[in-house]
Amino acid sequence: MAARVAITGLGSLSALGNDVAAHLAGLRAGTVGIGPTQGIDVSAMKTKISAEVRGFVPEDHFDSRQLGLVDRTAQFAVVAARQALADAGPALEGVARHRVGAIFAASVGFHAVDDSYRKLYLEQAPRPHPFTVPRAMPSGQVSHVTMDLGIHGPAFSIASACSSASHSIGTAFQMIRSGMLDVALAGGGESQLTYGMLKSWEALRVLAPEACRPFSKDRAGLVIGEGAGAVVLENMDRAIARGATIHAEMIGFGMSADGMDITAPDRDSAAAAMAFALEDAGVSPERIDYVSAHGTATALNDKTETAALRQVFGAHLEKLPVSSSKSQYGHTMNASGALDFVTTVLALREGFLPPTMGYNEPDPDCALDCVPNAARTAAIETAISSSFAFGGLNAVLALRRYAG
Amino acid sequence: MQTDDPAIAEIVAFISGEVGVDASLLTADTPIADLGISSLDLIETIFKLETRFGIEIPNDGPLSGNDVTVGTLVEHVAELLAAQSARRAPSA
Repeated sequence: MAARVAITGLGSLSALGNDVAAHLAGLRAGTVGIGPTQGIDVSAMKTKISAEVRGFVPEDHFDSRQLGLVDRTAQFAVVAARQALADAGPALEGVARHRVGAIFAASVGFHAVDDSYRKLYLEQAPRPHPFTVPRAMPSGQVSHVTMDLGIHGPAFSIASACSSASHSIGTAFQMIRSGMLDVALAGGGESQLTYGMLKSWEALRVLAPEACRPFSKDRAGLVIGEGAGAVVLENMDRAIARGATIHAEMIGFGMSADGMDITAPDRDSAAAAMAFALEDAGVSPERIDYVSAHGTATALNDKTETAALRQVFGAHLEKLPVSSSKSQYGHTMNASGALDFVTTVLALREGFLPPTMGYNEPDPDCALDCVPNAARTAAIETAISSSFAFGGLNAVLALRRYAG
Repeated sequence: MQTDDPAIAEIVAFISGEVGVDASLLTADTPIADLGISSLDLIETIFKLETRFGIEIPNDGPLSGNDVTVGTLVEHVAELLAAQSARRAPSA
């Protein structure tokens, strides 16, 4: 029989703050963490805003010899993973080493690439920093998590653009459910806030000039964010036996590939990923009480996602709240699935609906209750968190409130 | 879209070459999408036009919608080019 999977630890860093308590407070208060970009010089850019992690002092978390080897994106992942494990208590105690895993998003260390190439090309430096390769490699974050937390079982990274962290959490879930693992750390970190990457996103013409407004008629694109989310997933029986605090239960995972286009989303495929997650969880669409949307605030995503939701939920969509927390902490790319998962766990545990901030005007193409501009109290039992990535790689996670 | 205007003809010829569509199909009212040019192809074409003509095509201009026609694209580029040469011309 398949094992049940408990969520026993949470960690997060985002524009809402540098721990889960700040994240929860920000979600409830409708805080918008988006603002003028401070970490890099944006004077030559049209897009002046982003959702930065503020007040993060790397030296508070890493010694100086370590720091030279850990890119900002991996720093976030490690700090979030530490928070999640601290929250879970002695989750790793007494577990055979091959039964503890770590699966994180594969995120390029863009800061290392940007710094080294600038010196090489622009300043004509004779050689890049010798740690450019270990800092840049996309598996760096999961390696540092294993080194930092003493994890010695299955560990790897998953790349599926903005679904990377959702695929990571979903895969860890399946490994526990199947009996392969007892405990897993999963999630993802990302910081694409470098000069080169911001200019590259700007060139793609998808960035919003002044705010992130998911599902609003006047939405004008996404806002780049940075951060990390991490969770401890654990065999339910074991979690109960050791008296762990169980934040929620993970109950399903659905995936699909559009097989269509490298940037444009596909309604039918997004709908299929949601339907598969429900099927995997064994719940009917009418039982879903909340959807944490992908909701990037591009014209095309939000319209396509709404149509996909309509396809899956039909008339139930009229009373199904769907919100996008990207309006609060930006689009954190490879980390977004993990941060949205943490958001959804908190919504279930605390009994509230996170808002879609920045909402101005209804759009007939996005006819949803998007919980506009203020969080609401609601006793919700079952929810999904959706990631629909560039290149049509979709991952949807299903969760249930844990009543004890 | 005055196709006998040499400036317009040059823009049309450039787009034709870049997107691999015969210039005779690039009529003013033809939606770009009908030529098999996706929104992503259009973004790349805009980038190539910017590079070729040394102009900057703004994000929030007439090309930001989903129903851009050949005429809208060509005329927008022509206007930006005209504005550029006006700036470069010595003041009287």
